[in-house]
Amino acid sequence: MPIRLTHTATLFFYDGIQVFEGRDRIGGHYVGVLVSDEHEDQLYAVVGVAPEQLQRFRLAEVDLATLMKQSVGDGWYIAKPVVAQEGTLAYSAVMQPDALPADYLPAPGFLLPGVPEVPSNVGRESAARGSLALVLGVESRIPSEEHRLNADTMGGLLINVQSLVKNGFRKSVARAGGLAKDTNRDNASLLDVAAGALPGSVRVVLVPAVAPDLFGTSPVSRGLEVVDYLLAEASDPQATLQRVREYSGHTAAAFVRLLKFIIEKDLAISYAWASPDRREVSERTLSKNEAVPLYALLSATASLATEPMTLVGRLRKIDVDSHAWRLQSSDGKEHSGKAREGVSLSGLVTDSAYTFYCEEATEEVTGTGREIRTLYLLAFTENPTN
Amino acid sequence: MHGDSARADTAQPNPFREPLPPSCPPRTASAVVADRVVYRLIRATPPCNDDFRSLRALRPEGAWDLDECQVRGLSVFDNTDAAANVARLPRMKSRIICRVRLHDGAGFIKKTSGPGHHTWWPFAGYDILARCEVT
Repeated sequence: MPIRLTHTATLFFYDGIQVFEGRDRIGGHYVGVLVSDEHEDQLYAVVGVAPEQLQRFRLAEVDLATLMKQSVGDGWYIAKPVVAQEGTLAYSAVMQPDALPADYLPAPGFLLPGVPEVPSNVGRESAARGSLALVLGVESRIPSEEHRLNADTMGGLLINVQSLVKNGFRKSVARAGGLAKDTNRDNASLLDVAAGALPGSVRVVLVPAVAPDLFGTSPVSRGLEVVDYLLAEASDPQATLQRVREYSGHTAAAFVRLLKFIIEKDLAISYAWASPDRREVSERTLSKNEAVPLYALLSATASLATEPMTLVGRLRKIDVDSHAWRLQSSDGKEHSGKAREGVSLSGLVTDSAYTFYCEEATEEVTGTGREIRTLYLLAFTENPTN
Repeated sequence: MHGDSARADTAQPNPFREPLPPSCPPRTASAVVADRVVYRLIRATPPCNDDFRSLRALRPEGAWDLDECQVRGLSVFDNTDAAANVARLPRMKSRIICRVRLHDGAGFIKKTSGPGHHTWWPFAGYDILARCEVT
């Protein structure tokens, strides 16, 4: 008597589904690997797996051969894909009486990438809301039947993602040069959690905090397009560095903070996003294995995470001992900061006119998402004509 | 931006190696313009055209809950470690890693499905076999 397995995740894709995760009617977990596609039907060798072992396999802590050998004692199946009535993928699996053939086992060492499957059905999430939808998937090292994730970790991840999208949006707007006076610019880049933890996975659905226009277009799209661009070659640190250089400053800083967070919390993430005004779904993954060399390279690259700023105005205050200064620029705004190490403020005269060459660095107040921006003076010239 | 006129359009001749659905490759795919190398598993040396046929071409009647555009592309990797990993799977154990040189005119490519994996939609006029070297 065959059993029906619902396809719940494509664990590995290469010219089709090579390894899948499925569940039976009562919630049992299964893993299947393609063993034959020469004839009319594609056939998969399938074993039932304990949730803890499945989690280890998803996190690339155990290879597929080991997983199958550990699980085959309870029997194994040959499964054929079928399309269920509702159009989703399922398998008809028949238990086999004989031992699992050796050539149905993978060679030792086949590992998953260690990132969660890119969320599917984001197009439906977007269409149902008439709005941009971002589905964020997270894989952590807490093995659990319920796919739990430490609350602080999820909160921190959302803060870092939001910061990256927000800064990416601002940089994208600045590069376009046309929307500087958009009063909604700051709020428009924020995301709200619309559905926390979709059933069966640690995934959240994020939507723009500001309602889209009549065509379903959201400015958040610009920020996410920047994130897509930065992660397009995540497995190539040098190529990624070149991309991040194009967004040097606060966007790069937010990207580096996200990498650091992923490493410190031992995470892997995936996301997909869709919007009513776009036909395609964008998707990306980032594993800890990719994050480690990226972070090492980017954090060591000078001037990547700072924004150059030139201020012209009158010096209002200096404190040589604390290296602090305050300058009122020609547009009336007040700017304060510190001098970089090695830059002396002695010789500066208050109420005199200067051009200050600065760099602005951002730091995040841990756990709050609030960014602190600090101006560092690198050099200055006096403006005798002002 | 990336030669949108080359994308599948029922009003124009199809420039791709296989028939593609409308709006395929997707807008987020990039035309190959700069030289790059990808890796694909082939059945035997020398490579043959069957090694570069999509899942849809090999299984015209297949039914999956998969994106039809991706099913009509070719899976390739951007590094040999990922290709060597795939070669451990039961259906891939006997296969050989082929290093494929891509340059301007190779078609469209997009990062998909996990680290190192890309989907490639080659142009019909691109001589893949001449640029496939067994590693």
